[in-house]
Amino acid sequence: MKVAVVPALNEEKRIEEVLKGLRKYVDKIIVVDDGSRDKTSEVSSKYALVLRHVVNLGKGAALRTGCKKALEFKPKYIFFIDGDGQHDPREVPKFVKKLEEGYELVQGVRSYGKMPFLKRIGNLMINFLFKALFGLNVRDTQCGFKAFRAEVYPKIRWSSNDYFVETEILAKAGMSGLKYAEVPIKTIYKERYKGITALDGLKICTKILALRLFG
Amino acid sequence: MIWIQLMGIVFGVFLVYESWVFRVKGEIKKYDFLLWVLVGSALVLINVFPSSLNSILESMGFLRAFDFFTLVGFFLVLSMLLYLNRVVRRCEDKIGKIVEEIALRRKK
Repeated sequence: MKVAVVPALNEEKRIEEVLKGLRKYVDKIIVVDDGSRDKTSEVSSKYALVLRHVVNLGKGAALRTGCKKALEFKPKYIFFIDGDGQHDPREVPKFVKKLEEGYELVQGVRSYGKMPFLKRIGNLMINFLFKALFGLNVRDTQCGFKAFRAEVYPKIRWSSNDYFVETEILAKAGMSGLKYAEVPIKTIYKERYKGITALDGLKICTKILALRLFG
Repeated sequence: MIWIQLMGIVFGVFLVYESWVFRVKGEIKKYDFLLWVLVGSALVLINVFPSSLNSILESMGFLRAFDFFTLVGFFLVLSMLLYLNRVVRRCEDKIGKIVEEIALRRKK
């Protein structure tokens, strides 16, 4: 069974398209509405099981809630895909292929070509720091499109509530020696100021250091 | 009496008064109320009788009472920062758990 967890915050305009595309490739979709003030939950409930955070906790917390629910369905593979339409659900089979080849965690790698300039610089800095501290050759630590075998969840279980979740999962995968693969994906940037800000980037850098030092 | 003493007395009285107001409104517990009244009263007494501290200050090697209060104030602020940081983190964790629990129970 393949279960997709989709974290979403104020995505009433875009999530329908994501879910329509996604349902062709997975058996179950769980949308975690992280305290949206719009109709994200209502729109999503036509296509997915919706869990709603009554207040906004952050992406990490939303993914954690979704994963806990996903595990109740005893899935083989769990997918994370952003609810803002940044990722193309048609690329899910690429992840499935890698998982079936025996990889335990598969990370999407965005093309830097279409990435806004500041995001590109921030990502390069985070990736460099990650490589220096964890020795893992990860080309895109901040991509939210990923998949893993459900049985490895205890090894990558994260404590971050915010955007650091992406980095924490990879760091834990590296520290646990999971079989890791990357797949190139297309990324569609629909809103320039959504997602990780420069301040988030700085916070991620300090947290990478803290994770390396204190585990 | 110099201005700095007067300010200390006013602040001490204000601290006691505010503690009493908060206690009447039920916003602070008895223990916290007593603690802040004690701090406020000590501030008033020390400012009214500044020489009462001389022997203690000399034995601790402080030349001026001001140095002593600066150091104590600094330690106090740092301790409170640490305490508040812990309280905020615990609250965040609790809120996170509650929100997650509600989400998992009340699915749409």
